[in-house]
Amino acid sequence: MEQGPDEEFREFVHGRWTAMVRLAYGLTGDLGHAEDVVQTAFAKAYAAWPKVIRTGNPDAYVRRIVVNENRNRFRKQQVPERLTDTMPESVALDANHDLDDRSALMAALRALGPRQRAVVVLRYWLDLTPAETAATLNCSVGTVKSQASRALATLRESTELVDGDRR
Amino acid sequence: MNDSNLYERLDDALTAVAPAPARVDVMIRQGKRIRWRRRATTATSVAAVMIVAAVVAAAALGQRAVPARGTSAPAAGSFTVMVQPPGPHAAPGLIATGTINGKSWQFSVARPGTDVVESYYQQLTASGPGFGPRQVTSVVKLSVDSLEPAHFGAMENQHAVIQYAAVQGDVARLLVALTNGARLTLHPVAAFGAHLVAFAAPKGAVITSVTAYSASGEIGTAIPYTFGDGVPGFAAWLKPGQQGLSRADATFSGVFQAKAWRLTAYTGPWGVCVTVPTAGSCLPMSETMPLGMQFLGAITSPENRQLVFGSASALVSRIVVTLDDHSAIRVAPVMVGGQQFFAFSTANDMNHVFDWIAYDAAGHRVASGQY
Repeated sequence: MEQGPDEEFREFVHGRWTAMVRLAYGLTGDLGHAEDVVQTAFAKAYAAWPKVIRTGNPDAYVRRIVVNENRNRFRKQQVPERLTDTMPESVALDANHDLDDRSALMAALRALGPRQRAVVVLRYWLDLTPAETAATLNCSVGTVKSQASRALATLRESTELVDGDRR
Repeated sequence: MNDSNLYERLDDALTAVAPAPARVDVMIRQGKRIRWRRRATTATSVAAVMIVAAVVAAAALGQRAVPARGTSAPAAGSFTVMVQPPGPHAAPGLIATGTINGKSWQFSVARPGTDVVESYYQQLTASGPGFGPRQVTSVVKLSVDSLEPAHFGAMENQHAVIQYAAVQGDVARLLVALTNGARLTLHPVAAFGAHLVAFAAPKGAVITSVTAYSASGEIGTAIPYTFGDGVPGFAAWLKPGQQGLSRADATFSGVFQAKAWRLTAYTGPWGVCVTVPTAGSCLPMSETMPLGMQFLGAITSPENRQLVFGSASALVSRIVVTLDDHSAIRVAPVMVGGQQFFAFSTANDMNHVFDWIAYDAAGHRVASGQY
């Protein structure tokens, strides 16, 4: 028997909820926000479900909404500002702080800008191609490559990850 | 760290995340509301329907729908309102009861996490003949910022508006003044770890001020901006003696990708509220203007464009915003109510904003930032 659209949507959500929340957690570093973002993303996907299905790749469609929803959270946050004559302050961690590898990685990710963080998670965790990453972020492939390069350089120099590697 | 090592560490960190179970019913309800809004915003010929439908969905998006500019607020006429906290034996979650013109209403909250996906979301319920013929529910995250004594939200229908707020623990009472001279005293009610207040008034009744008091005296006053449909928008809380921004307004307009856009900003003791023809939002501002500028927020235009709004320090005479396709948008801040503001349009989201540089009148770089 053919599924109704609601049943199809339910099945899709049950299959993809955990993966999408994990993606959003990589972008936000906060499980509450991650669930919030993904909840809204799926609701928006439901609102346009026939169109989502027609794309042939609902996963990519929802992933893109998740990324956009996370970026739009800036409404509720002050945008970090840096003065041109002042170097940005690095996050100083207490040497005795007992960070495990996971929290060290998340701390290093949080130190990246939202765009670089998204590039890292999409490229290096979801293993999307530069073109797929660019499509998800609605930017050029060149931007993805440059942002990935900068992000990796930052992560390699990250105090948190270096300390984590030493443990 | 190489690519493979990064993948392993990411995979280890992210697959360890175990989210709460998906609540698909809630998603479907939200999705239906979004669908309603989309239909409503395209049906401009039936404006009345558009306003009612958009109100429901826009609240979930952080901006509220308002009638087109120039539409006058519905007059509340003569009315009487009363509010009282629940008695000692009231059901858990009951926050306030009261009357509008002698007809009763009540407002209650459910335990966080009940029938919602996220544990920190709560279902709110407004009911009673004073509020309207049908019970109305809403799902929100009730929280109050450390910088404000109370954070207000609203539930509305054609007849009435219920204002509810999460308040700081040191708030002993709130005094609400309405334009008809009515004064309502609200006493916070502890419910599920939060302190909450609520009151109801007829649609169109204008709130002139809300003042928060601790046990030792006044904490602050909010003078809300009143949107075109009479619903108040809260943004700033003024400390005793603080004046806030002057009352002024200015319209920002431009053309982006061959489409004209227009946004009006209203400054006043409420802070700053912005409206487009179908929606409005009040935006919080930090008390001290950082050197350069700050993005305050964004509002979605009827053409589904994202109109980004911000404030700039007095030094700034020009801001260059670079998009990720390397194109640049040049914006000149405008003085409104003693503070400089700017607006520009992007496509559907902030993804396109890459960085910004603020210049003074002499062309010197004042500050820069990256989104």
